[in-house]
Amino acid sequence: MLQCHIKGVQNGYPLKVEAEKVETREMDFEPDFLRHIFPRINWPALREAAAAMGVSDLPESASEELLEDDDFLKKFHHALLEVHLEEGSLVCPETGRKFPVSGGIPNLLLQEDEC
Amino acid sequence: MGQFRRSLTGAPTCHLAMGNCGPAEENLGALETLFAPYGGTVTPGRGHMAFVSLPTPEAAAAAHAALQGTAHASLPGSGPLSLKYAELEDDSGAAPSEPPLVAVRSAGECGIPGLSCHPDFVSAEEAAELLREADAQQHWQCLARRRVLHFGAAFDYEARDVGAPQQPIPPAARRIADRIQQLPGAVAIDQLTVNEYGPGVGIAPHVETHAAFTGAIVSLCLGGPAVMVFRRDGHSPRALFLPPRSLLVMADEARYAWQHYIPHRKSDLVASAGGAGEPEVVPRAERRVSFTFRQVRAFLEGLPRGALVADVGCGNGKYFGVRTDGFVLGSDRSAGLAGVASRRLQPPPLGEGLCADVAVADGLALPYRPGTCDGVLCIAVLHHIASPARRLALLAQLLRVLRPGGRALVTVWATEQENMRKVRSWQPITAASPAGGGSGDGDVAGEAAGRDGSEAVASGDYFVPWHLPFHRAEAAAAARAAGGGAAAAALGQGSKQDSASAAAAAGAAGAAAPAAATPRLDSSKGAVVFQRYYHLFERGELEGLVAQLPGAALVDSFYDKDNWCAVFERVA
Repeated sequence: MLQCHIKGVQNGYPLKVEAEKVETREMDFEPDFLRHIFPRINWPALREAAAAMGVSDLPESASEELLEDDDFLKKFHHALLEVHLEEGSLVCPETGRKFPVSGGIPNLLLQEDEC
Repeated sequence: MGQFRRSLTGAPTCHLAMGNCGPAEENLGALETLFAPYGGTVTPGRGHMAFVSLPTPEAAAAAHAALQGTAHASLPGSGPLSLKYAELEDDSGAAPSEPPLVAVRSAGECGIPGLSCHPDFVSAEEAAELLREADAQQHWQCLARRRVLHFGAAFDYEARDVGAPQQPIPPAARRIADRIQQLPGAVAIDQLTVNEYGPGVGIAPHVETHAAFTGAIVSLCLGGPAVMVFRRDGHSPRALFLPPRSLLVMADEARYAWQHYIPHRKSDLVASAGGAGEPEVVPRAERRVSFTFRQVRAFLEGLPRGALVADVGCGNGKYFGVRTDGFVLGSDRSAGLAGVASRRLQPPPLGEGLCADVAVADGLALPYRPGTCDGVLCIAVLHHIASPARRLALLAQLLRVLRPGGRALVTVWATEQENMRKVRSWQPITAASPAGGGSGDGDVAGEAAGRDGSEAVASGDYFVPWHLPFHRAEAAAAARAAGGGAAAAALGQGSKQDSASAAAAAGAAGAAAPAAATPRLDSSKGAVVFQRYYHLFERGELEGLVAQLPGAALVDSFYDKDNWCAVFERVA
């Protein structure tokens, strides 16, 4: 569930991935979507999260120019859309609060004293 | 609108009260077909009741003679029809068998704010060309009493359906649409519906749902003339003559507060052209064709390619597939519903392989970074939030996740429900209601509230029952929650894995709102009944909330099928 990496709680961004079970599902390759979403991706956060789920072929840094490179787009596509965290946790880097991920669905509900 | 009531004398009138017709709303099409030979118009009533209005008492007598006590396979859930003469109590409380209204010739004489009519909006040559162009089309759809033709808009989110791609508006009609767009208050027109009515065929009373102007309906009358009647509670009905080639515009009060209809008649009574003298009898023509121009409010289509859209309160994820080039971030307060939604993401055959993500999250604490989304959908969620301050807080969350220039669509239930009977069956929440409410018998509570319901109507807060039929798997767990031991036991065979689906059910019933926590069993309806909290929005209320949001600009607001809808944009 890589989209979770563009979610955060208060100052708790980026959430760290603790993976117990990872699934890969093939998705249609949409270069336009990737180019559109790229400016809103925090690259180091994506790279770190992907690594936590066993995808370690993303370059250390990425720039707009790379978006013309098909090979790069395919890796980006795979890391962003095809690798899913099925079981595990998303951990707030500031507080250590763990948000459980079960059946591919993160539960980001807060306790009353966390609101 | 006028109220139907049984005729006391039993003598033929122009109206029939019909019982045993099956669920009237669902069977409406078949009922109209059944009464079409007599020129009848059907108005659905409560449950399995409906009313039929006929042009004359003779026609009513003919329909009565032919159909009383007959059974029809075309009407699911019906029995032998029971037909009794009825009277339509008009709004002034005058005698029921009203003489035909004399139609006035100018909209101003109707005295209805927002109503206008532009005579000779198109020339005779243009009218002929428009009709030729429409007649040449291959994709007419034939309905019970008319045929229709649609042009424009490939996707209509209001219909909650990805429609088949449609023909673009053809050239002659496009030229007229462009001219309409020049009128003050008009917006870009991208959709056209053509209706063709045979001789004497009218349309049943209704309030229009689709708008072409911001808040207005616009319709061009071609072929023959007609008379449109407007009616509203507490007001005398008004009739307006629509000559061929005239453009009718219904805005504001004319659109929202008045029902309009065209009586089924072979001829109309119209005020004499000069103003003085006897009314004229104006015969209807062989056919009348109306061109209704509108803008489909294509919120989703208006988003950029590859858009990132947050669907806040996504429920079962029914909007996930509407744009396949982007990505939807779905979230719901209910883990059960989020689970249902996430199944759509599975590749076929398990799911639909949709490009979306689901999280369990509270709309009041959205776990997304600020400024990430191109669009936000918040469909039928805000009305479950129980105070103005919290409703504003939810809108502020939607605004926060939008990027500058990004737009949110918010829809809520309106106090202006077309079927007010439905509203009367809901339980208003008053200051005197016990906290949590809904624990007693809903009907009794509803009746009690009916007596002193003014306060509740003013606040717009209701408990609306939600029925989970016993035959649904998740009903057993819910029935246990309701404390219905025997029923739950009877239902509960092998239901160990019910808890998730029961949670989904409870989630659907409760959403993010403080619903009455404990469902109750209603054996007569064969269902577990949950009470869901709703705040019904008055006209302008949603816009008022948006106006309180710094950094949000209202782009559009409109009424659609019992809902108020608003689109706002993040400006900074």
